Amino acid sequence: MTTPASILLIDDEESMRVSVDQWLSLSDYRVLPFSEAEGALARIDPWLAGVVVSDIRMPVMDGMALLQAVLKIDPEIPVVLITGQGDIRMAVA
Amino acid sequence: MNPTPAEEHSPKRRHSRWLLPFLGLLLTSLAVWQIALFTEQWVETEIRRTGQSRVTLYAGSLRESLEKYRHLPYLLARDLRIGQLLDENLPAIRVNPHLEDFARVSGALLFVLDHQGETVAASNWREEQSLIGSNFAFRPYFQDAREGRSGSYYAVGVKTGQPGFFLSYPVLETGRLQGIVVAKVDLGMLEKAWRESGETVIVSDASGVVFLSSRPEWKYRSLRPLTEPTAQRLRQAQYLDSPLTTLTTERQAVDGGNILRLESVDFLEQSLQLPEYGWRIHYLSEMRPVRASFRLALASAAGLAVTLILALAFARERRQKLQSRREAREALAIRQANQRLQEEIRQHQQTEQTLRDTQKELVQAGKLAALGRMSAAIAHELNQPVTAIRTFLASSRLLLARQKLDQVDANLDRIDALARRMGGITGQLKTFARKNPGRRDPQDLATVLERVLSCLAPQLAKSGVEVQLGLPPPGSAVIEGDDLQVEQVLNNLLVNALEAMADSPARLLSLKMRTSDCQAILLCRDSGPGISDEALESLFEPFATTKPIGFGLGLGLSISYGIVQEMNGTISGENHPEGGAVFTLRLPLAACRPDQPRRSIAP
Repeated sequence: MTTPASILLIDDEESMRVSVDQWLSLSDYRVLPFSEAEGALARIDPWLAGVVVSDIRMPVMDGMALLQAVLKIDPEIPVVLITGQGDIRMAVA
Repeated sequence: MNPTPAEEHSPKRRHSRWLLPFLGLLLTSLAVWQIALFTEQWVETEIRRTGQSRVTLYAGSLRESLEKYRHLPYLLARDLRIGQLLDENLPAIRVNPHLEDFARVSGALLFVLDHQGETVAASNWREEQSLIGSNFAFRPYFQDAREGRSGSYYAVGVKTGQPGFFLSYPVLETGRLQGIVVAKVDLGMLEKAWRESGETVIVSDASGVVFLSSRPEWKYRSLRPLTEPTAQRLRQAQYLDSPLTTLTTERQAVDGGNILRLESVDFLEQSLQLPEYGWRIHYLSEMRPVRASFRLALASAAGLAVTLILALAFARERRQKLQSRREAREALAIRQANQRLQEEIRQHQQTEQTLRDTQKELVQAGKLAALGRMSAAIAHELNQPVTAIRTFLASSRLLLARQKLDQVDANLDRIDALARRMGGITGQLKTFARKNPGRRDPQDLATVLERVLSCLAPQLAKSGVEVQLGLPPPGSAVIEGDDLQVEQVLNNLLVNALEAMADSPARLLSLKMRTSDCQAILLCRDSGPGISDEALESLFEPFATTKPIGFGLGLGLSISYGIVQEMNGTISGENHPEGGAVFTLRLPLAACRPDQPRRSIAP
């Protein structure tokens, strides 16, 4: 039995956070929900086995800034950025 | 009916129009007449002055012509031969050549009368008209000589028929008259000289008979009527049966002489008395030149005046023509200026139209931009709950499959909440779009503000905002309106202020409410960065927000503006001189409602 992968879920919007948390949990992922990026960053270390899922548009520290910060700590950790609007330009960047 | 003032005045005006030229003509005529009169007088004066000197000159020459012979009879009276002749000691034949000699030298006719008036010797003894033998006792000079005086007398020679001036001197021997020496001076030469001078000179004797004249036709005629005895006497003694008719004369005394109408011709008569002869010498100047000068001057002056008037009229007409030409030019210039002006106005109107069109386009573009912003905002605001709902729905299917109905129920509650939120967003849009007025219930604005503040209390506390509140006494700021709408307005104002101060170190919200002039006035001041100039322009426009997309629709102030207007109030925003933004909300007080024109007009 493998340890379920941890998913660090960061979204300032409660409804989004709660719904995504529930859906991922039902899919047998270990979800660590955070309402802002700083809390999530504190939990990331090179030995963490998991994925970062973050909203882009957030106050104080947004998804893009979090991505940069995460890659500095662990360049190999997958980061999934989700957004309310499909913004291809932002995704390419 | 009384005439109107216009009717009264128009004839006067017509009069004055003719009065001036008439007066001008009158004055000109008077001037011309005066000039003519002056010229006439001047000419007359000239003539008079000339006449004065001429008459003196003629008198002098006459006197000289006569007097140079005065000594002749005197000398001869003392001649020894004359004495012997009268004593009858010497025959006349011895004396006659002697007299002849004298006569030749002097030019006068000389003869000697004895004491009875009988001519005993004469210088013209050789001639046919020899006076010898003739008796001249009837001559006045004989009488004079008999009385021992020298005599002088003008007469026409009885024998010769020649007029002449007789000078006599008595030859006395111890007081007894022996005889008389007479010299007859011929004045024919003098008269001829006068005639040739072209001037009119006459000499009249005491009776008025002209005996010397530059005009032969007047000679031996009288200047005044003679009585028949006088005429008779004169004919016999002096003028040798001349008819002595009277000349037609008419005298009019003037300054410096007389105007003498002599034989139908006007003369200026200037005369001098020659008392030693009892004569009067007359110098006559024809008045014709004077009259002519008057006419000439009159004609000249009139001609000049007419020329002048014509010249003036011409000049005036020319000036008027120039004037009218200039006026026409000016009118043309004005018309052209007008046309230019109209053209400019037309261009301005065109420009204005273009501007308005551009503005419309801009407004349209602005609307489109606003629409874009709104779409983005709405999309963002709605996307999240939609995504969340879809996620909850997906989870709910899984939970349903796993028979976890409690969690499904919880999810349904969450979906319901999210749907409500979405409804809230669309509701906001509906409020914005809605035009029908809300209810009008009396509301104490202060109470509403307190309610809104209490709702926002957690947020205010969380943001560390200090609130300074100044409210009027309860029940004084009562306005009429929909409580929810009023709440929304106040809420918008406070949330706006709150958001403006998000990045400010000091967060002070000042809320001062008072009543004045039938209005409830709320000043809402924050300690934020203030409103940018750009934002000030579209402060109350829909979708104009200072916040980036994702932080509100930008409808807050615009909705507030619509609500406040609906309530006959105003809302304005500006920057406080000491920093921060100040929004002023004014709403009419319910107590003053009856004064509002809306009510008084409504039926």
